[in-house]
Amino acid sequence: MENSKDHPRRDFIKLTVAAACGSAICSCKTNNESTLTAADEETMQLLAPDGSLVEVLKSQITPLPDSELVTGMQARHGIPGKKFVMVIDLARCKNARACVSACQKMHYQPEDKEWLQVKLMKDSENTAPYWFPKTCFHCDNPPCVKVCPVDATFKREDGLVLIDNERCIGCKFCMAACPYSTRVFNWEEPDQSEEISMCHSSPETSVPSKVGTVDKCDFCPDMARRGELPDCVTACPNGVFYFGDANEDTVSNGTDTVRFKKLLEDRGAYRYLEELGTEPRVYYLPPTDRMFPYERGLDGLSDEKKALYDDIL
Amino acid sequence: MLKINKNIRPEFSLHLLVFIIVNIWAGQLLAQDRVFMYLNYYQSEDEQYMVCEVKYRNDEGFQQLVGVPIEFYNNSDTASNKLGEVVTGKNGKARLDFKESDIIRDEDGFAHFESTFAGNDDYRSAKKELATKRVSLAISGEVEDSVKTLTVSGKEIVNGDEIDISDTDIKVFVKRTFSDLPISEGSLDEGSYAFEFPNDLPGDSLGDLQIIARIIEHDDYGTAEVRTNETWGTPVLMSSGERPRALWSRAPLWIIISVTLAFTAAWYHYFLSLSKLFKIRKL
Amino acid sequence: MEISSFDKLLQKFKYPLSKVSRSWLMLFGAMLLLVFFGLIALVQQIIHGHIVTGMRDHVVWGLFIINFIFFLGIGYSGAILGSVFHLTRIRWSKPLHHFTELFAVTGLIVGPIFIFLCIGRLDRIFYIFQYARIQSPITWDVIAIMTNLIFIATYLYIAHIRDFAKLRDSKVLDIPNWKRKFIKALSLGYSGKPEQIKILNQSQNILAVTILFTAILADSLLAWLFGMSLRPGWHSTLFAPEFILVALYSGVAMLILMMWIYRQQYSLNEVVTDQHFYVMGFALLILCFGFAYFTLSEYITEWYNVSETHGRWIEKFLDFHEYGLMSLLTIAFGILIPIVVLVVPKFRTPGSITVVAILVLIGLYLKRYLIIVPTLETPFVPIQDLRPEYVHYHATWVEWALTGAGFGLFVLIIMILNLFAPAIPVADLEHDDEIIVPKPFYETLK
Repeated sequence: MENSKDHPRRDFIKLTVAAACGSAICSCKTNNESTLTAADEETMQLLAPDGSLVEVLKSQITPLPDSELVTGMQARHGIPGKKFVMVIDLARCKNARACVSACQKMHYQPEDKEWLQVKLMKDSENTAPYWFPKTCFHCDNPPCVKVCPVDATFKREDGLVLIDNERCIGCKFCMAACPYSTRVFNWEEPDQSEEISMCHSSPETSVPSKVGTVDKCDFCPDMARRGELPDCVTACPNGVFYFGDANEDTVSNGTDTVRFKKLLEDRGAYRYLEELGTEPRVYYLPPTDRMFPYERGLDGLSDEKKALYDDIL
Repeated sequence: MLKINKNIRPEFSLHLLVFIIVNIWAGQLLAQDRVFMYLNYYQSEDEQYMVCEVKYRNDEGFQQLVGVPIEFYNNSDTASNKLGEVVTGKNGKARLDFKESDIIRDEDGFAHFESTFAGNDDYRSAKKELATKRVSLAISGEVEDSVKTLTVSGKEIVNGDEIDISDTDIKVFVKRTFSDLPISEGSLDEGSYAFEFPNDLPGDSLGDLQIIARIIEHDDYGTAEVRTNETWGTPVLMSSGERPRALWSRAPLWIIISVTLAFTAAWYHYFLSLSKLFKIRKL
Repeated sequence: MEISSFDKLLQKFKYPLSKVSRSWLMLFGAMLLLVFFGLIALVQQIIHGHIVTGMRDHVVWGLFIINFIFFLGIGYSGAILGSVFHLTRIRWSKPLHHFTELFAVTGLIVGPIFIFLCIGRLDRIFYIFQYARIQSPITWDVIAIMTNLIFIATYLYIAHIRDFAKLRDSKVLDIPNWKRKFIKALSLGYSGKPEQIKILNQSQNILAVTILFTAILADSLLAWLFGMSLRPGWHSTLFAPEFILVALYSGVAMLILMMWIYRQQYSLNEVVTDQHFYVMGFALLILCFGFAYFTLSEYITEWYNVSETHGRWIEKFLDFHEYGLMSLLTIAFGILIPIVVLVVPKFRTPGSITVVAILVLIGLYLKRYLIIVPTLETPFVPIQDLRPEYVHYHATWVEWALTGAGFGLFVLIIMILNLFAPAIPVADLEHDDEIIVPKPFYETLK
């Protein structure tokens, strides 16, 4: 069996007849997805729907989806019985930015498009600075959903606020309405491979991005359907993110699984800008008993980037 | 340089030869990555399986070794004892399921397992051994004066005899969407462990909970678990959770009425005005 | 006034009614060029996406929305002024009626074009109807703008029926045949019969009242689009009345500008008298005080309050590295200069009042910039972005070209409308025994 270090998963790509016919089926946003390079000139024989054998370049074959894409009304309704919540432990964050890159990888976003951002915050002169990872807050009283003229962004019964980028007209009113600057706009044709941009889009995957529409953190409901935690949660080396279902009163950061309300109680959790009344579904644990001094987050940053924080410190 | 070569001694050339051979062999080894292998055994009432995980290390740390064949053996690595061969998946793990009848245990109740990776051009070979006993776990619940007591009992099976397990750590969990929520932790003493079950755990809409008792990576038992369902959770009421004035689903009646009224009133007067206009021509 | 002098008045509109003059063609060509240049920019935007504008994730709306508010302000105020003039039967205001109607329609045509330019997916624009959500202020605005545009366009037509009849019957002007036929059809056979006068008047009254309500409501909806958000600088209950006042202020300034242009162009000194300028200048002064009052009220409440985000926002207006200069210019053009010129009798001439009107229009354009951009540059969460274009908004040539095209189109549409009817309601003036001049209570010392 041929096995190259560059493409260790090549042999595991399941091939389908549909893929052989060059149709646009591909596994968007599956974990550990492998990408085939165009330089690969090997061919493979596959059975076409009409029964004939066809030979295609291996490089033109796309993997079979791991799970069915959830679209339409099902994607708008949500996963029955769930109420997703996130708890972010500020005491553990050192701006490692593994969450940011995992999210970008997962959603095929370029490096300068951050659905998940890590900010350096300092609330007042005498208080200590801290790193502040910011996802979409999936508010229960979402100002963005309220103003959407075409129902492109919607609130689901499982608590998620998602975007149907096949519906979005790009009026940007939601971006103006969101007080957390969560949403990003595709100002130009997204920098995604043809393979990805030809995928069928679903509000649950947020892939592929579409020019002239709005994108944002989606809490990865496609993974939740498979019982997997979002990639930012599992990518974090310090277990900053806890994700779970409030109906089950359970959140997990991949290593520890704990009672949700107990965690909030024990650590004095709060929600960011509670006074706005948006009712976020993301809770923050204050940076007490920190694992790292905030300076650790400045390690390895360019001077340019460090200069950004001059005003804050 | 040339001068020295002319005066070369036989012993020296032999040393050189050995040196070259060792170098080639080492170079071969260097070209191959070292493989780290982990073998775990899992058992429950209806299934037994082994999971072999293989990793290698590069500049970025440990990486899963994907797509390599792993061979599993019982007792010794001879062809007749081969349990099967599984190729590692995307997570670098190969899982082999088997039945009790497939394997041979010794007089102490131990089954000896071995997993091997033959190695290839890029990776070195690896091998791991394991010996485990068969365990039977059970959960029983009892409610008295609204105090719920959960008892986990564990027995090991040696030649068909059931022997109580003692001094073995056991954890009890509740099944959740993304992982299992630990609710109690203790030690099996004379084959059982009992604790008071929490009263405030949300279940599903009926209050149903799946309870799991698990011995984790024990030297003799590997990982053993048992699952059972109890309606010991508090039922969760499903609601859309729409806040007042959030306007997710549909506009409130007053907005619809107001907009319709304003729109109708405006357009009524517009057409009233137009209708007058059309009369002008007739006059 | 005698009939013959009315013929004389009509004669003044020989160009462009009977044929277009060379200067008309040159201006038309220049404006076409502006629009064409805008179209080139538009093609860029369509090909490359909104990346060619200065808008980015924080400042999601820029010059386009500023133009949108500016032109809709002109449009709605024209509608309000036109219907108020008609309903109050102020006799001296008659020569000004068509001016207000013209810029009302044109503003309402040009304004919405800019909202289309803001839309990322124009190919899905019909979703606004297909998937309309009545909860969204955008839906209200879409309904309001379309309704008002149709209403005010109809009103413009109704107000011109008497003129069309006059043009049809008059042999004074040598109107091309095709245009005469068109005008004849538009006149609906109106011949000034008492019954016709009554019905036409009723029709116009009903529509004027309707427009008065819908225009005020529509401009308020526009303000609520911003006022209903949570952002500092937008979330204000004051916004709707302020928008209406600012719109009226810009509308009166626009009216003065048009009065001056048409008076110069068509030598209308007897009809649009100096006294008209003084009275409209007085109206401008009152609105100027109103604007000063709203500006003070808007900023003093935010300045006095110590809220952190509001503070970051208000400080940008005081900082000359941020919006200090623009705020100063807005206050100078919108408040200080108008007050000095309009209060001191010595400074008051039709020319100076027109200059003030132009300054007011510039000042109020800047005011719209100050409403939109500083607020969007001041989000609750600190920006912390290495890319300067994501921190500060700078309009690109594409946006300026399209803005220029908007102004060009504004002039073009008025010029085209002028081809079919005189900009002065000649027929209405004919029924007056004399041109009523506003009573001299506010005038120059001369």
